[in-house]
Amino acid sequence: MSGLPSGIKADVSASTCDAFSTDSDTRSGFSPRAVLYPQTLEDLRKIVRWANDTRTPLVPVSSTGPRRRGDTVPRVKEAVVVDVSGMNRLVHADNRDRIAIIEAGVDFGSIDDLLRPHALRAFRPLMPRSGKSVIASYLDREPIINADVHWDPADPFGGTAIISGGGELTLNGSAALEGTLREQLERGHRHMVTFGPGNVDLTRVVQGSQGSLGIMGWAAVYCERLPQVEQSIFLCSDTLAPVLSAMREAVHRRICTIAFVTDAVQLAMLLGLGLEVAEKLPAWTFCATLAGYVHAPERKVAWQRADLETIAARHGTSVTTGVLEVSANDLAEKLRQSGPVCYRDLCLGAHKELFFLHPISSVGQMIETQQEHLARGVLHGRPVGTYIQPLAQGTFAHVERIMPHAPDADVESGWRALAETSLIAGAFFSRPHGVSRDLAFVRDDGSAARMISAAKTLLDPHNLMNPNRFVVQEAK
Amino acid sequence: MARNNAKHRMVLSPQARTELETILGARYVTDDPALLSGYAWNTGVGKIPGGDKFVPIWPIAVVLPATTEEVAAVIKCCKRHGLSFRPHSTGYGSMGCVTSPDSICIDLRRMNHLEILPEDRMAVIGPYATANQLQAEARKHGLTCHVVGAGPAHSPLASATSLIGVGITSQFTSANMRNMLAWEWVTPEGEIIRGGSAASGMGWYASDGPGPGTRGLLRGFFGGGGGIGVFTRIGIKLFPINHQGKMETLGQVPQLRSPLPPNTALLHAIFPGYDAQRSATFDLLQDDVCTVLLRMPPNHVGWTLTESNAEFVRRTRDGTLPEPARPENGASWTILIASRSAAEHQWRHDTVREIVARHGGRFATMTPEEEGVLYHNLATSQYVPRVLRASGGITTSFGVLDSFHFLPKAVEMGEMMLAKDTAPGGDLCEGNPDEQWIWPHEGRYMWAENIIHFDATNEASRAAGARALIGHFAAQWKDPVGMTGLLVGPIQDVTGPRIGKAPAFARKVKTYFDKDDRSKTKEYVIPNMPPVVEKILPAFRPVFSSAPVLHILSKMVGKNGT
Amino acid sequence: MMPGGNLLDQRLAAMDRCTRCSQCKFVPVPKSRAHMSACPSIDFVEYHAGSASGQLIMASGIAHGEIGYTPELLDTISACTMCGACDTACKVNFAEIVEPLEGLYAFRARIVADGQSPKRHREIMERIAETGNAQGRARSERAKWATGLTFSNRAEVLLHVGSVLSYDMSKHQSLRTIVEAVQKAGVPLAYLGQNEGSCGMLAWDLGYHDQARTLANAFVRQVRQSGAKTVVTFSSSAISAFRSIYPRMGIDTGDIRFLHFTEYLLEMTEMGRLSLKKACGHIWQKVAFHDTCKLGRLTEPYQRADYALTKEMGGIYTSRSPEALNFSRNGIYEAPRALLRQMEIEVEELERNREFSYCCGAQGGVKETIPAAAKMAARNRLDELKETESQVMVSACGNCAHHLGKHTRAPAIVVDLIDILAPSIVVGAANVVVHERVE
Repeated sequence: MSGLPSGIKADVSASTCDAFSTDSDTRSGFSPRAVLYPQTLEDLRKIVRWANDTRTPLVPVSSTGPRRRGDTVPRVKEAVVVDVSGMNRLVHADNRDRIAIIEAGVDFGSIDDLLRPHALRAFRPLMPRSGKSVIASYLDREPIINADVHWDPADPFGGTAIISGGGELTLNGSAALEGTLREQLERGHRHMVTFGPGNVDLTRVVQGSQGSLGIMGWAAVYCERLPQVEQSIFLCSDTLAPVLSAMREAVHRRICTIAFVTDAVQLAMLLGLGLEVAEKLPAWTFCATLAGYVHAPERKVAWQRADLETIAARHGTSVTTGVLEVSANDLAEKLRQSGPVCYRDLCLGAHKELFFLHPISSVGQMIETQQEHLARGVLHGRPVGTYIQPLAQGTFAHVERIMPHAPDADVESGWRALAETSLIAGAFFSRPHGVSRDLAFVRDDGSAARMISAAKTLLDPHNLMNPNRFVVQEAK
Repeated sequence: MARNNAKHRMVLSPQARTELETILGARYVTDDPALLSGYAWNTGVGKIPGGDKFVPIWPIAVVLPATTEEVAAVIKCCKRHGLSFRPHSTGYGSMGCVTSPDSICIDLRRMNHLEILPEDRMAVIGPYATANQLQAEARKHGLTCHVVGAGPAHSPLASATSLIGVGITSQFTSANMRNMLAWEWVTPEGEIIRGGSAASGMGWYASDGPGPGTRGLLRGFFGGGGGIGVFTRIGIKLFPINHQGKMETLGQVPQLRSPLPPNTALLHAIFPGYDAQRSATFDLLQDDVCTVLLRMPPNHVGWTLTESNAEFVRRTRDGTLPEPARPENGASWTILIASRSAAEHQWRHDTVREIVARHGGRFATMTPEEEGVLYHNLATSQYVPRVLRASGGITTSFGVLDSFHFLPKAVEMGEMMLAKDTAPGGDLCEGNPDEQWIWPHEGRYMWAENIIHFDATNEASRAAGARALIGHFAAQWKDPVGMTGLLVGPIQDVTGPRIGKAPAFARKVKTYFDKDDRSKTKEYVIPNMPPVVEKILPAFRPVFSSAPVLHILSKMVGKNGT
Repeated sequence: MMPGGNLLDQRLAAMDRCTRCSQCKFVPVPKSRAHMSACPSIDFVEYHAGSASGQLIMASGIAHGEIGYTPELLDTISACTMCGACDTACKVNFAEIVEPLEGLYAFRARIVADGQSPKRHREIMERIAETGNAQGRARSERAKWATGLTFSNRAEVLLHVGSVLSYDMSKHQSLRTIVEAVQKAGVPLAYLGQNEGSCGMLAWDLGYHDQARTLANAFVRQVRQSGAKTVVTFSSSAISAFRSIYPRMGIDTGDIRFLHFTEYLLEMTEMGRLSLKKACGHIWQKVAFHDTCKLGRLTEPYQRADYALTKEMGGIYTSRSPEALNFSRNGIYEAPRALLRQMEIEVEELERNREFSYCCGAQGGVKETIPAAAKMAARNRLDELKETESQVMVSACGNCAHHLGKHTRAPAIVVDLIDILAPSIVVGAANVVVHERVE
């Protein structure tokens, strides 16, 4: 067994290491032999170079708190976990350009506090837990809920610094400039561009790689200016079609910032209400937030509200400011708060998740297919929430099904059957986690496997980064 | 009649010809010199041409495949016969020309698939679904596509996969490297690979996954430039507009114009200076208040508002060009506000007017006809090809992306590069001291691109063009104004550390997928460069950017072209 | 006129300014993907050489000694109808600096001067020389349509029928009816009868500029001999030649006024000397109108001017006679439409109309040389009818109507405007009914 890189804080205790051998939905991992705690980008590079020299597998971790999905559980023996959660500085923030540079360990529990002095806040996925690393979330292409500014899956990344699996420091997008980061910032550069430079876009390659290609040290991330006026509303319906089509039109027109659709179960979970309340909630709700940032914000929100009402009427629904005793503004407030535990576990202690991408035009059919399956399968009667998040400004949608359950409930096979049904119906598992880890590649014509293999060879030639993370690269 | 360039020609072997004809049919394979000539034209668009109208290297043959499978079969045939290839979509400019005498040109004209999926605000397109076709079909559904600088006849697929991808409406139509959804690609070895949702046979909407966004290996900022196989189909994002239906055209050729739809305004704001314009810009970018912002140099506005060069020159001289086209009004924005509702429009309109006034700006007076012409050209991106009207010879340079903080500096650097030679008596065409086209992307950052206008028939003018072109890179090396977009081929390698490890990774990608360098181009990194050269090449930047070397290089380029 | 070779040299600098932007392949603002093309030639050839840009590049290649003549080159140029749509499209952006059509004329002339004219083109020219028409029909049959009609030897107005209509028996009744109506309205007409020859348009298009000039001079002499001050032609080729090509050839037509019959009839109706009654039958309620290239953009008068460019402001190429630049604005677009409206026929515009019209393939010798290309062009044009509510495509050109009609598929039909006019034409003012419609 090789030693560990010098000058880097390490923990080899069994309790620490063993904690990484499983997570809340992964039982089959290995204990790492150490956990390293780099503090700087240089530390990171040192670690990766050391790993290359010693052929030591690395598993990067940047979030803290309860983990799940298996991407931080070593799938090989003798791995070393690289915990970057200590790299949690806000390096820079600029209100004028609405951008900040953060290190990989900055989490959703702290980022808005860090950004507030700059009158900014972070774009967030749907109610992330507080220990979730912002960069890890963006790297995993977790959808942000601000549909209007989600132009492309690379959002909200600007320029980034990534240590490739081969140990090379790559500056990506408009971070690829001469001089130190400090010098760049002093010259006025803001690293606002994610793509490139030149012929490659390594940020994009590393996104979705689940730690298997490199480790991001810091990233410029687009932020939202703190609005002067903010108004959230609901559009509710007994059926999905009206709210879905209203949302699609609103998002295509970019007249709201936060935009997503939930069913009653999902809304109850988001609101922190018991599942029994779900029955009293509207079957389907389009949650929208209108924001006026700088210019005549009241007027802006007013016309957006009026236009949204017109859209709602056109699609057979209407605008309301609350359901039951809960206002849409309350929900918006909750969406900005991060608790230590995933909101989905709060009801029954555990949950199953299934998420995938689908063209926004046919989400309704997909949900119908899933509902038919659920109605006649072993999960019949169980609460299954639905969250539909428009992406790429409403080109396609992230569809997420959540089933809260008691920790000891035997629902594995039933949940897998739902995933298989979804796959047949056209669910594209772009982020192979959990139940979709293998299903994501079932319909692959060989291209994805081929390209992952290429990326692995080019960025991580010794296969040291989170080995065997994808089924198509598992050693046979 | 003898062929001047016969010495550069290789001949297609009978065996290779037979195989190609078997794959495509004889009609779609040619090595006839006359038919090849259109693929060897030295226009100088985007480059500095030499004195000759034809490039020295011609393709051995041109083939016209109709399907992805045919492309793959052609590439495999090339491999069997030790030939290289170069994909070619619409072929604007000289960048599509083959760069090695053993190359076959794969003209993708017959691959023109175009399917609009309006509810998903996207289309599925092949390489020859040109922007004007895509836009026409998209408009039927109240959508438009992003049209890049090459104008309406360009291939959005080529733009999305292979070359830059920015365009004047990027404020609301982003850029094609970001608009590209799922993709299909034939590798330089002839493998067919699909990416995103297309790989799972689930449509063309999702660009990435399952797992990593491997598209990033093939498409960074500059694009593949023909150096990494052939892209054959992509999904591409479209953008909702406030008018559904065919574009109405008024007026007569060449001054076609379009009426502004309801709740639409086209304004031309003029600021007292570039600092004021910068401050105003930061405000104009908040709240998504503007649909499009475009700064054209005044003389380029003049080309749009005049029907011929003769009219432009006359009116420049007698001072009768409209305000936006007058040289003193360089600090300006053409602003398009396109709203759906009256209340929205009123808010946008009032806000823009208030911002402009607050920063000391004012609005130019234009006739409704001038307004209609500007709107038409903005909506179709006809602006850009028209910029070539003056002399037929332009190249573009700079191409920086960063915060609008750099706006005044971008203009200053543009002037530094051009002012001497665009002044009367200079070696370039007379024009503005700077010729920066500037626009925002997605309400966030600036693109600035300095157009170099030279007389392609005049060696001194071409040399001046080359001097300005290389000078931009040298200036950027010394004091960057942002990320350089136009890192054509070897410029990437020389730029070196400024762009981190990108050239090295691109080279790895090239070697991995194309170890024999069959997908031949000068627009990609230099293939197979020894690591030691890779390391030391950037050290020569001071040499390349020194005045004497710049002078010699410019003279050489002016004489022989790039 | 410059000899063919010199003309190419004269145009070379303009050709060399082609940026290969491909805009010449497309109508300037396509309304749909299906009908975005401006160029039947590129649609058929597919290699870039088939476009105007490609032809200019080949011409430049010849001039610079980069390429020689090959059968493929000659086949390629033979697929071009010389319809000029490229010129209109190019000028949207490039105005005076390329002028593709001038380059194409020069290239054709050079090909002839180099003795490389395609065999079929030579055959056409032989037929024109022998019989006065490209079809090789006997001169003795040229005036058969007019049997029984009386014409003056000298008159203010000379009737010119053109080679296509003269021999198209299916149109003769309509032609007679219209001519008779004009005569009954009190207009004495002169007519050259069997002595009417080719106007020279096709010879010009094929690059035989010397022969074209000979034909033109002969015709102008005939006009002068007739004493006519006005020539009214039923031929769209001829009106294009008279207004656009004769001036290029330097032919002095003095004060002769050249009118297309649609313009002339419109004038007559506006003066009240003729009128048009409502066309009977439901199919006439709405028709789509095909703008013939020759009648439309290619009839824009060519002005005698200094067409050279001057380099100004350090390299900006400027026309010395900007007012003389041809932008396709002044073709005959309105007269046929006005006549249709007078017959209470609603005119539905095809997507590509007026100066942006798509050539049907009938012109430029393509029909005779590369029939498949001509057929494809016709089919492409006819497809445009599907986008309209009409089943009828009307052309004011006998050549187009015949060619399109040959390739149309039921239920669509193609109708020559004269066949609609003839039953509707009435001598005198609108309320006077002289005869009933002939079905």
